[in-house]
Amino acid sequence: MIKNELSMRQTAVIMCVLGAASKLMLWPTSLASACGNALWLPPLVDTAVQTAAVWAVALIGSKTGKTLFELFSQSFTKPVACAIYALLSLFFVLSAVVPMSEQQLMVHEVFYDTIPSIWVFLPFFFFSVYAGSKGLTNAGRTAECCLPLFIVSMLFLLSLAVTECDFNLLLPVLDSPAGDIAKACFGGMHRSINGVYMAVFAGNFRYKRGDAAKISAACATGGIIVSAVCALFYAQYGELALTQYFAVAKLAVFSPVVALVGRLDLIAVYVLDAAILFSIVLNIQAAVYCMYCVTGREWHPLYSLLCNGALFAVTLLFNNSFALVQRAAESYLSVAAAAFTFALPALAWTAYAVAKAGNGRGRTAAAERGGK
Amino acid sequence: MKKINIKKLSACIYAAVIVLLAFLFFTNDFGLVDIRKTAVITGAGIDVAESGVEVTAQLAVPQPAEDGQTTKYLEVTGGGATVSDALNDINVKTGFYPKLVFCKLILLGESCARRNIIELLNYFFRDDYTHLTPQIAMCAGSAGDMVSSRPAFGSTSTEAIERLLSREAQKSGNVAGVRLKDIGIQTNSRSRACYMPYIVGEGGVAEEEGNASPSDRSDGGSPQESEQGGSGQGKNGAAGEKELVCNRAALFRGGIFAGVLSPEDTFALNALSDNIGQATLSCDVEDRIYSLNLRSCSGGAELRLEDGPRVALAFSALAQITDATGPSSPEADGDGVVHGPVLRDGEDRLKEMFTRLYGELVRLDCDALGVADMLYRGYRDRFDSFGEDVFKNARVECSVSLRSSG
Repeated sequence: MIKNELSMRQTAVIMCVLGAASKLMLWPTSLASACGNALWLPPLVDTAVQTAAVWAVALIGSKTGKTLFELFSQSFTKPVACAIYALLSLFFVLSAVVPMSEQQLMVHEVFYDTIPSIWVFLPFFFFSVYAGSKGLTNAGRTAECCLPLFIVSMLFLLSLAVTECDFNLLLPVLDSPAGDIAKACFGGMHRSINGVYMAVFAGNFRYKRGDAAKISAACATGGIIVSAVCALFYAQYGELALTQYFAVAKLAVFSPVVALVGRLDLIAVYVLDAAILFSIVLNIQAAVYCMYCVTGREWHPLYSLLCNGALFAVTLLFNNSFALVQRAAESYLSVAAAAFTFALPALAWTAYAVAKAGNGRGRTAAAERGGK
Repeated sequence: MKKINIKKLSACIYAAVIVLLAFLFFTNDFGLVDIRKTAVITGAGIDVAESGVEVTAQLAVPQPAEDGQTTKYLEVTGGGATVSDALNDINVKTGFYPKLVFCKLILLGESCARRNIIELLNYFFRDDYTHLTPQIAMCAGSAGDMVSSRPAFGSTSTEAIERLLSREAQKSGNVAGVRLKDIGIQTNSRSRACYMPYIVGEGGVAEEEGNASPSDRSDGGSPQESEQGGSGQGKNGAAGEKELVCNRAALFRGGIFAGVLSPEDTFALNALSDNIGQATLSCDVEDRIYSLNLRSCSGGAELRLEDGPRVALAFSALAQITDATGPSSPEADGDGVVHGPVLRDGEDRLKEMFTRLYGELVRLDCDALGVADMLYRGYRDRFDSFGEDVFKNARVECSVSLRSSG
């Protein structure tokens, strides 16, 4: 029996830790390239949008106690719910492509001297197939395991980095053209999909009063961490940030401690990489959950194998074309991400209204029948 | 006997295997390197030659433990159109795969003044393994010769230069320690100016030029290549030991060499860059020379736009007399108080240094204090009206405060 139950704490940790971890690789460099010293702003804007979406979906979950699939099935019929979840499943698989490729590149760049064969990346897929077949309960547990790893490694890296920052480099504030900032915000939508995750988690844990606010606050915290990392990164490198890839691995290199002892910061990068790994696998777990909802069968290992097979094919196909993959994601996947981010809460509230009206009509009809 | 659950056991084995494989991938245990084929570049000297660029790399070659020696140092020169070509040439000549991860020093020879240094350093800005952390300096004569020379202090020249440019040395204010990152950031700023330490090997160029006074070297033009600079020291360190002196700074505007500052100007620049912890200053009061130890130093330049652009150069420190010429007595020295006239003379000397430095920077057309950048970052709306040359039109105000530490 595959379990999909989560607790509020696990959901909040997923929103904060796993939501932030996968954004710390190449996004800061892309943002520096897109909007210069205002690179800290798009993560905040995207997080604000996602936090609103998380709150809207979580509130629906707290009101109904049902998953969105159940709500959609009840209000829009099951085929419609299946179609939405099939699209969601595809979206999650596609959303894993960019962070997965980034992680592959980061590991090669940071830990390897020469670029190894693509087959060396195979263990990732073994791991992903295994973890992807474990259900949402496993995602919650791993997120809880990642929380201390994330906190310790980020504190370590940021404390080493902050001493070597020149915050004047962030001035003048908001000097970049608004169009560039807006474009960067939109281009980053495919990385900020907490609202879409929430659509999967909603109804899979017992709500208490104030849970929606807590989960939303966790989501906002994750975004603030990403924004802070971006700001520190630019305060270290200035305009050179455009050519410095994998921010987390570059943050602490100027610290006197690193100069004296050696690349001590790489230990923290290793640890952080574990959190990034689970944040990528979360996409697979979410996709597998959506497939399970659509088919109604607990064939999780098979679903996980399918998802990872697709990702492996993409990896083989676009092994040396990461720039192309990134551009495609920023142009097209961001549209899908924006559509899901805005449409899912709207659909959820509509479904809730329809269900409520249906219940009202049902009660009235029952009352009328009782009266007769 | 308890029956073994095959399903559970196989799941455990599967999990253990993938964790092991993932660990191997993420820690690069697939990428074991044969140390016999590896050479670690600890420092690189770049010279501009007729054919393009010459790179002399000091290689630390790790030795197998059975040889009884941990590291052997070699100097190898490679040439090519670019730095990358030159490094590849080193690989062709030696068979070593050169690693730049541990490159802590990049030395530019005098001949680099003929080219834009950003073009020369482009490889290091692009290369992801150097991390922009190496110290960078320019030297009199050939960088290749300096890298290959045997220093008077230290086993290798890169080690000796690294020590000269260390953070500890920078705290004295004598050395303008600069990393590759600083060069990139400053050159890309609105000021477009950067500076780096200028090293002279004593017994080398300075001596050969007849011990040219520092002011003679602030000529603002391209330094001449020393004729003996290239031949005085063999590539394999055949010549005698050199004493390396590094109390000057080479200035660049937009990556183009602008001139070399005198030791006094370099000290003033370091003091205003707020890099120094404690420094020594000489004062002359009533025919006695006092050596002041300056501690808790704080300096900086600030741009103000009231009544036109003004650059305020400020410096403050606690002063303590560490030595003096002439007779002294325990009664006179015992209180440890630095008296007013000595402090005033110290302040006047520092003001004079700062004013002269600013004049020199204007003369060399090199905004090394970053005044244009201050204008852009602090007064963005007025940047277009004053422009990048604001530092040339600004009035200078010096404010120096020395207080007795006793």
